[in-house]
Amino acid sequence: MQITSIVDVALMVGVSRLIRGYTITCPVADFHLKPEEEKIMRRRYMKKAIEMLQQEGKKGSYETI
Amino acid sequence: MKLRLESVKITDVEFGPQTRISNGVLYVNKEELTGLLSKDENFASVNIRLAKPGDSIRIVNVADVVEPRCKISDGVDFPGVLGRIVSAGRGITRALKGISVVLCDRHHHWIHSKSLIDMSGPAAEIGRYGKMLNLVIDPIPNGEPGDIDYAYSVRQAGFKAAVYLARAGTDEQVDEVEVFDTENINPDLPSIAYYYQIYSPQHDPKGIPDPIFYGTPISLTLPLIVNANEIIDGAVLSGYTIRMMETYSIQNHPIITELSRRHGKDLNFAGVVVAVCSMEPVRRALGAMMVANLVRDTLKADGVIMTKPLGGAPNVDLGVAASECEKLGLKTTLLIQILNTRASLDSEMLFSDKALNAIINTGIIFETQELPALGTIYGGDENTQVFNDSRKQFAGQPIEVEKRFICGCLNQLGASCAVAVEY
Amino acid sequence: MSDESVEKASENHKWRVVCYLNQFFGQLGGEEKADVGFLVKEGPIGPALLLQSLLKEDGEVVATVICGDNYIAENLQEAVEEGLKIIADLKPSLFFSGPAFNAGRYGIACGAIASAVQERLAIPAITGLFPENPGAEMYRKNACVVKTGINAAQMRQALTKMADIGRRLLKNEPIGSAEEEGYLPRGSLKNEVVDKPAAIRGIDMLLDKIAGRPFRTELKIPEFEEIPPAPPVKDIKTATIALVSDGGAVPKGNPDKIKVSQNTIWAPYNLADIFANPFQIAHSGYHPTEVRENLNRLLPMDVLKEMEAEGVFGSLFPIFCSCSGNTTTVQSCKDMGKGIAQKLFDEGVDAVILTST
Repeated sequence: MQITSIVDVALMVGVSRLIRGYTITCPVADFHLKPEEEKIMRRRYMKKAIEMLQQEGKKGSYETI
Repeated sequence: MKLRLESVKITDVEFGPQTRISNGVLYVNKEELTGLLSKDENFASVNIRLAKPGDSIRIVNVADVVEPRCKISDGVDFPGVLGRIVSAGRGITRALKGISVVLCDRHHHWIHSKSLIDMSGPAAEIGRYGKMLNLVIDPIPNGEPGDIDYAYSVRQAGFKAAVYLARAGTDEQVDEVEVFDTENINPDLPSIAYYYQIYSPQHDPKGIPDPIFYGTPISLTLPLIVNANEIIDGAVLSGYTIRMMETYSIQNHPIITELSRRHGKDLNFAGVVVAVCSMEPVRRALGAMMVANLVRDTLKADGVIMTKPLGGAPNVDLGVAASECEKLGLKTTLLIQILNTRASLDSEMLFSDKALNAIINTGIIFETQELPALGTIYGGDENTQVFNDSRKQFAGQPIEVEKRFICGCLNQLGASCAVAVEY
Repeated sequence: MSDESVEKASENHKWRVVCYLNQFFGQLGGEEKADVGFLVKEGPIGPALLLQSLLKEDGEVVATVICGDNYIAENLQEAVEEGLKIIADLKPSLFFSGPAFNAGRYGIACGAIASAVQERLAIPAITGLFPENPGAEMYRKNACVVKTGINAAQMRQALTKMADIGRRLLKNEPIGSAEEEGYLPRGSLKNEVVDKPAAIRGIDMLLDKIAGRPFRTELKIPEFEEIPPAPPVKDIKTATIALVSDGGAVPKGNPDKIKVSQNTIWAPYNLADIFANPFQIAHSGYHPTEVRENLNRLLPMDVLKEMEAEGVFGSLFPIFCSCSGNTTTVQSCKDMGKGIAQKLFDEGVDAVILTST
């Protein structure tokens, strides 16, 4: 599955398991947060990713955390 | 808003004891100008040189190019940059035509942001500045100043020089006057707006944005309406990490000047929406929706022509904004550059909305050009590295450069005549 | 070109030309002869006679190679090898196949043989196909495919264009763009200079679009291939997950020379090593400050290792696949994706998390 903030391109190409990333330069974390909080956010991304890997792929939509 | 642009045509430039213009020749007091620019602590010294078409001169480390202009009335020169913030776009501005000020930044900085200008050879044939008179401002850094701080010093110096030169012109020497006034709308003509994506923060060094709008950063702005006259009169500058959109080409903005000239003739120029590329999707969607609303309901346009800087991410932003416009019944035309030479004209777009069916391609930016070694180098020396993805190459050698690094060859505002064609 | 053919050319200024035709145009018969194998006739046969008259003094059609459409279609690879050898032995400086117009099997044969001659023998090879002929899309990037009408009623027009381009290719004269010259785009783009700058072309195009007048876009919307999603992971507790990223993270020194833009290369690297040792970002499309500060922001190894230890999933594959996704062509993306997928699949990986900047 893919994590990217440019969901439009991913949707256009037909990615079927897609999470909207935080920002272009930092897809799986909000770097403004304190390090511990940032790590918690990264974990939420990974948890969501692992959940989606166990589900049917769905084109044309994306998830957020 | 009405702007009167007075132009003085310059046919040659020389150094002389007094800065003045006589019979189309601009004489520059080099000591006086050097003294004016050397006050900046970030400079150990400032070289000021002349480069003319046909000279065997390569100018490297080009950070920006500016047309000499100054306010004659109702304004401040480059407000927010050289002076306090007042509105640009009103009163009288004087420009020198046929000559530009080239700014060189020798200090260590992101190599992808620098361009070159050759005054002879293939680069001069395909790049507009190789065919013009150029006054090259080439400071030598004092020690190791901060990258961003130094970049601003170079910008200040270049713009000061631009104003200094423009002030040499007198009322009697004005050859041409153009008035930019698009206030009256003719309801029988189609109304066209311009969507101007002026910046993307994706390359902001250390996340620090470039203050390109009245000398202030607007990296996080939502779309806003700016008068076209302001844009061409010094309110908007070229971003430091942005090529193919020099300040010179903004001052002479091809879309704004063309729409202004045709206003009242075969179209109405409805106005300009300025935007910045969003770095994340919620913002992108919000911005796109606002663009469409502003263009349709505030500017009351029938269609919008759209440009953007840089590469892929701004392309996506542009596409989303254009789609929203089309959904509201606005017709859109987009100016898109092609990135790769091994490609076709139906595989390189980053959006698939079939409504976006009116695209102008502004040429291939990665197409390379071989350039011979030239006799003299300004802005650096023969060991200055010139970017090439596959090998190290230096300014004193024959080099191969991508066209996006030949200043004035390609332009994302639509100034260039290059088009990508299928072979 | 071989030295012998160059000599011959300078002797009597006539380049050696070989033509390929199917059983019908080669005057052997119709469908009943479609199984015929390769045969060589001396001099020009059928349409090759017209081609000869168009080439005039510049070329001599020394032989016409003929083969049945079914013979080739049923065993394309071997048949092309066979044909290639025959053509090579004839030592041409220029090669023509067809034109096949819209005939499918013939079109594929013409395209396949022309491509082989062009790419393997480095001899200019030209064919003529109707744009919808399946051979056109398959081979237009590998040989010069002149656009023809739908059937042989347009034989003269097709051969005239083919001969003209062929002559110029031989003489190393420049060939113009696909549209100008009438051939199918070969997959490359070049900058040309036109009269009007983009700004004016754009405003004019927009006025046409608003008024409902016809206009021609300079760039077309892409159509993307439908790829069905992979089925869900069955047992996450035993699954191996691998990280892949197009953010360009590479060991310092960029040993595999991943390009900062227009990249075509991917490489596998040890995850633990890239965290433990100096790394760099080979990607010029974003400012890598945040990622440089903490590589977990691109490759979230820290949290994945924790989740692995907790038994949330089976195991984190120790290798991650790296590439840069900045101004990459669609084709390069496809090729890299296939390569990465194959490698990880062969190594028993069950699922991939791809992070993109």
